[in-house]
Amino acid sequence: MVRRRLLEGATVVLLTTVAALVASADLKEIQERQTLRHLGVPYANFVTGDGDGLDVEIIRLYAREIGVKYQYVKCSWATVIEDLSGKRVVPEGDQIRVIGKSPVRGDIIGNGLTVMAWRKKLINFSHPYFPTAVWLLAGEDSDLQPIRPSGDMGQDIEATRLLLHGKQVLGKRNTCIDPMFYALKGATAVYDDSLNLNDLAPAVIKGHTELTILDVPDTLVALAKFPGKLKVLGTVSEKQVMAFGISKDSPKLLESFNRFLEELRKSGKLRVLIEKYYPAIALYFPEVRKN
Amino acid sequence: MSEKRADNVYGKDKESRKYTWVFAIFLVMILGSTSYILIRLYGTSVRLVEANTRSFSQQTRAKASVLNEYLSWAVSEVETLARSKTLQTYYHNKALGMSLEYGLSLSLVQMNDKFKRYLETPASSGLPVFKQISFFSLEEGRILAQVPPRDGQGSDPVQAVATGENFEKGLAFRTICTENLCRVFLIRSLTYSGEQKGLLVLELNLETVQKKIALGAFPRNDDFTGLMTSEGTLIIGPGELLGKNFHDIFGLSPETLTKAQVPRIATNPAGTDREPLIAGGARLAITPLYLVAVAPRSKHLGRHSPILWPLAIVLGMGGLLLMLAYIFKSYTDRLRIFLELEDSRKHLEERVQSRTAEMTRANRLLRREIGERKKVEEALRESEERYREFAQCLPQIVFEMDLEGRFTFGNYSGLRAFAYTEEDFGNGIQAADIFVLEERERASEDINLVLQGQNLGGAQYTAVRKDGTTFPVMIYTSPIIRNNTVVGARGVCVDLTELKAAEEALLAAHEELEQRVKERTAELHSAYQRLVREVSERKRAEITLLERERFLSDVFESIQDGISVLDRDCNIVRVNPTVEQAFSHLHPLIGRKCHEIYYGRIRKCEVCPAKTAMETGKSSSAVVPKRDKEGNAVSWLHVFAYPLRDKETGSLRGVIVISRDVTKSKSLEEQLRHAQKMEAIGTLAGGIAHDFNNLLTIISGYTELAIRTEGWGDQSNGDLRPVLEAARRGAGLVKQILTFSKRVESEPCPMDMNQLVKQTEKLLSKTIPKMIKICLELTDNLKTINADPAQMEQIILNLAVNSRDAMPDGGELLIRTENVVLDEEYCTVHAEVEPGEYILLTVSDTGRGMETAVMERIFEPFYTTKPSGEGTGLGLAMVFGIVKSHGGHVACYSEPGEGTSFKVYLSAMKNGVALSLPPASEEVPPRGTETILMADDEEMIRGLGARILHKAGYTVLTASNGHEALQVYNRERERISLVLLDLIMPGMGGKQCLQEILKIDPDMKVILASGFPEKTRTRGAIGAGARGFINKPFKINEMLRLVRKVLDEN
Repeated sequence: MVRRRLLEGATVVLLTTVAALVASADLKEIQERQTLRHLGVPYANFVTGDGDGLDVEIIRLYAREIGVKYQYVKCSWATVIEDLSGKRVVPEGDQIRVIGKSPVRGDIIGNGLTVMAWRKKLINFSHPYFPTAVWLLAGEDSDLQPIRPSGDMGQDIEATRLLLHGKQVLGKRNTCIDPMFYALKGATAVYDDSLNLNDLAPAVIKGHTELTILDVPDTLVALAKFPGKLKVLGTVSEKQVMAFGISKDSPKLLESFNRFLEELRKSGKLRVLIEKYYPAIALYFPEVRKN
Repeated sequence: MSEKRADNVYGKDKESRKYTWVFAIFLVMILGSTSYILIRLYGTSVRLVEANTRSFSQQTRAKASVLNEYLSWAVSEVETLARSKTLQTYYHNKALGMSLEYGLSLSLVQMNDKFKRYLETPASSGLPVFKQISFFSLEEGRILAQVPPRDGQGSDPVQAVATGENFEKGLAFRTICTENLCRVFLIRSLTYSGEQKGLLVLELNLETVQKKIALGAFPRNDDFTGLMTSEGTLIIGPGELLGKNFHDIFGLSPETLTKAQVPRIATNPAGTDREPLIAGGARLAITPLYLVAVAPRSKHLGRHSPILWPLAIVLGMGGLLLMLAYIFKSYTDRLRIFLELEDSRKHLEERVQSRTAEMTRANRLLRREIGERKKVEEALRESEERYREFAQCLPQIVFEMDLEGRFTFGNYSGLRAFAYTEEDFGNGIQAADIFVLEERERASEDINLVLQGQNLGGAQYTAVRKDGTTFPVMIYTSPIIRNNTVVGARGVCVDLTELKAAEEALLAAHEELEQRVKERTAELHSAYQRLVREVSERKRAEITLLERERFLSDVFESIQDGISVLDRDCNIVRVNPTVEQAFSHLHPLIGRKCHEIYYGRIRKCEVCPAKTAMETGKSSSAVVPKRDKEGNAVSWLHVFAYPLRDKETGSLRGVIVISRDVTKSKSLEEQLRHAQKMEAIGTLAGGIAHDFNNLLTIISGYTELAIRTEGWGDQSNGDLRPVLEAARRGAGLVKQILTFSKRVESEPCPMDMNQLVKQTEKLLSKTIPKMIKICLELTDNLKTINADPAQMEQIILNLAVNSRDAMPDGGELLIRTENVVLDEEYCTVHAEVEPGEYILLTVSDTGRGMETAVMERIFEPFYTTKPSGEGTGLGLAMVFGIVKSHGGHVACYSEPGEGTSFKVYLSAMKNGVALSLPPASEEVPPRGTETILMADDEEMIRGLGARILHKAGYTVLTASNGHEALQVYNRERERISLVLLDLIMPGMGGKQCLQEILKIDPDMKVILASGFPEKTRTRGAIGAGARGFINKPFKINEMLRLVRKVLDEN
């Protein structure tokens, strides 16, 4: 009898531990835990890796808002979604194929996460806070000439795609800059898993590949970092939006964070923060000034 | 008494006259000294005015110098900004073709940031240098960047300035004045790749400039310093004068101001009731602007005392009148005294008292006049003292000398510079003595020239201090002219020590720089030489590398095997054209996982040569299927994986995968395996058939003998006939087996397959149900083949029967003939076929067809899909055997429900003509009486043969093997006419025995018999000397005819 009770107790403890590992925490648990875990990949000026960044500041403000401590959990692009959702998946276009489970490591993703269909199947997204698009970049020595903007994004995309025939495009698998998501006919997607997103522009500059695609904020950072070394050829995507990722198991957290984000927007602080880290973004997306 | 009184009066007059002259002389001295003081005071005043005039000019120039330096710095800032990387990046990006919508706007943001930083950088005054910075694009025709952005409506003055004219290279100043507001713009042309692309427009912060030039307010504070343009427009100055023309206000043009050595007296704009003004100016060297200074004349040049000259005149005139009055009075007094001489006695004391009172009044008046005169002198002294102190305060050395060339004045700067005291100056220092000995003569000459009325500007000397040390100076000297007469000289001496030191330092730095440049040039030259060598070597290395790379690339692309290079994560890094072509439906290949492409898997393969090589670091290989889009294996690849290592570190970089299409060889292997299997089966079946044939030979032989012996009409014969029939059927089966195993001797002859098909069709039409339609498609001019017609007929019949069985519900049977050529390509995948011309016999049906598994076994003997008892499984095996024995090729094509088609390829003769076969002979077997020796190891067969021959009248001797046969032959050879030998016997075989017999009697007639009618063996036997060959089991008539035939040969 004693042995049976011990076994039952051990089972309860084990199940509780597993549940804590597998499920994401909702707002109440975060407040009880007194810590908000920010899952982030060092990327552009969203998460600089030096303890600041646009998303870092926003989530820090939110942690202060709900009265808990902020904790940064460093991730990689390959695992950041599963670190929140607890599921290991293989994206197949807009669909996903679940191939296993993984431990949940945080409560909210914030690193310039583009809203994509396959990601929506795994996590919830907050209200969008940052507009973006995906641009095609080449080195200054490339023979390709940038497109002449038509004023219509659809036409610009077609004109950009025409440049790509027979070319190789460096991208990052299963991210918003995976060429496979943009129907680049006649072009070959090239991947190098050893490269981070921040390494793609240097790879083009060094001539390792002729072309790459980057989202607008990363492009702005790269252009500022390597003046005159890169040229933007055009866009391969319509306008996209970035948002914070929150587990589907955390509806209260999502609701609370969205409310906070709206207050931040109304107070004008969001615009100030965005222009602090991306002073030029409003030139390309004037709606930022409405934040 | 009267005389006494007269003597007294005379004596008093004489004494009075004496005092009068004394008083007159005293009065003249007072008047003279007063005049002298006044004259000296006038001279000092004039000199002070001149000194202050020069000081005013110098102050104006000093301010202009300060402003020049400030503006030079501002211009250098503009140059720095114009050459900044930020602006260059904008044009570079634009030259790259980037548009504002895609990326280029970022450059403008960076430009604005740069402008902002410039604006936030203050000058030494703490105020910013520029008020606004704008970037105007000449290509766009508009302002693209501006900090701070223009606030307000209407046209932007910057736009107006930028578009107003064509600015060449360099810097331009433009001024725009509105009501009480003037703006000065510095416009810098921007070029890129030699073309003018834009303008940098910077608005000068005039507040900072105002601070620099210490603007006063006019007229409240009496003077001001300002800026004006070359056209005379006042851009800095009192608010009420801004934007107005200086010439219109003060009557002076900029040129007039700057050319004049001394300030000009300007018209007082406030009216004639104001005191006169003076104005000075200087052009700001790097700009078209002028610095102007306006001040009340009295403030800088001193005010003439309003009572000085009237007082002097009054005093002079007064003195003169007083003296005249005194003389007149003395005369009248003397006359009166003389006239009153008479009364003097009476009133002398009264007159003396009256006279004394008058003198007292005169003295009081005189003291008052002297007091006023002293006040004037004090005022003059204070004025002189003020200007002297002013001169003393000047940082430059100011001096004066007299006509003797001695210094009469030196300010404190001069005393400090030369280490002299005022006492030294008081002792009279010769001007020429302050220079080193070598230069004194030149100095004296220069001093003489100045004292002769010439100006000496900018003469350099080496001055000697009191302590003997020397220092360089620059001296500006002008004569002092009074009443058109040179009375001395005045000048300014500038200590050039620091300048010289700076020059020397500059020279030294220049020399050091030149030396360093030379050394650096030498180093650079050396480095250049090394670089040239290195570049040459590198170029050679690059060429070699390129050639090697091109060669390797050519090799890589020329190899017909598929080559893929994988990284450590199994991503495909590179493939050669063979792989690209083979997997063209899966493009793109680069960057994707190898298992996705080659095996259609998402995960890595559990067993894969690449994985093995990656894990073990050793080469690995395997034969794997290649799959199509649906995942079906369409061909086979032999995959070799070799680890790819970093040469330097030895670490594994990836894997090289070489894949070779082995589909053909695998097919050939399969065919070979099948052929070997068929061969084995044939050998096995043939062996069994041989033994079985011997048994059938005995059964059928003895049965036939029994029937012949007993007569055909006996009842027992009726019982024997089924035995004989069964034996014959068994023999037929054995023959089919032997045919399959190619042990049936065919009798090829040139024949026409079309003719045979037509004949066979007649037979088929009788045996095949009517619901099956027989169709013939026979090609005209079908080539002749060399084949056994009977066996060909057998092929057609067997295939037709198979088709019939496949179409129980009816259908269509098609027999087609055609000429075909089998090329090398076809033959490479069909091992046993030689390239050449063939006739193709096709037998097709519309029956139920076959599964692949069935099709793979249809040619095996005894394999049948028919119910037990309905088929022997030998029909197609026989077809196979016949075709192979004719050097042909048979193929089957079938799908379930789609019918079956057999294609038989038979080699065509080149010039063959088809022959018709004679009908089989049915004549009665001949008989004989000769003695025949028969040898066979099978006793029953031996007995059977002996009985057949004996029945036909022959005498038969028997032997059980070759040795025995040879013994019998040696013993009975005189009577033996023919020897019948079994080819295969234990011990000595038939062939060896034949040879032995022929050695004994070369003319002996020998027939060989065998159940293995192998052509080569038979031919070998006949070649060895046999006269004929007979198949077992024996057919009596056939055997007897052959025996008779051989016996009858000569």
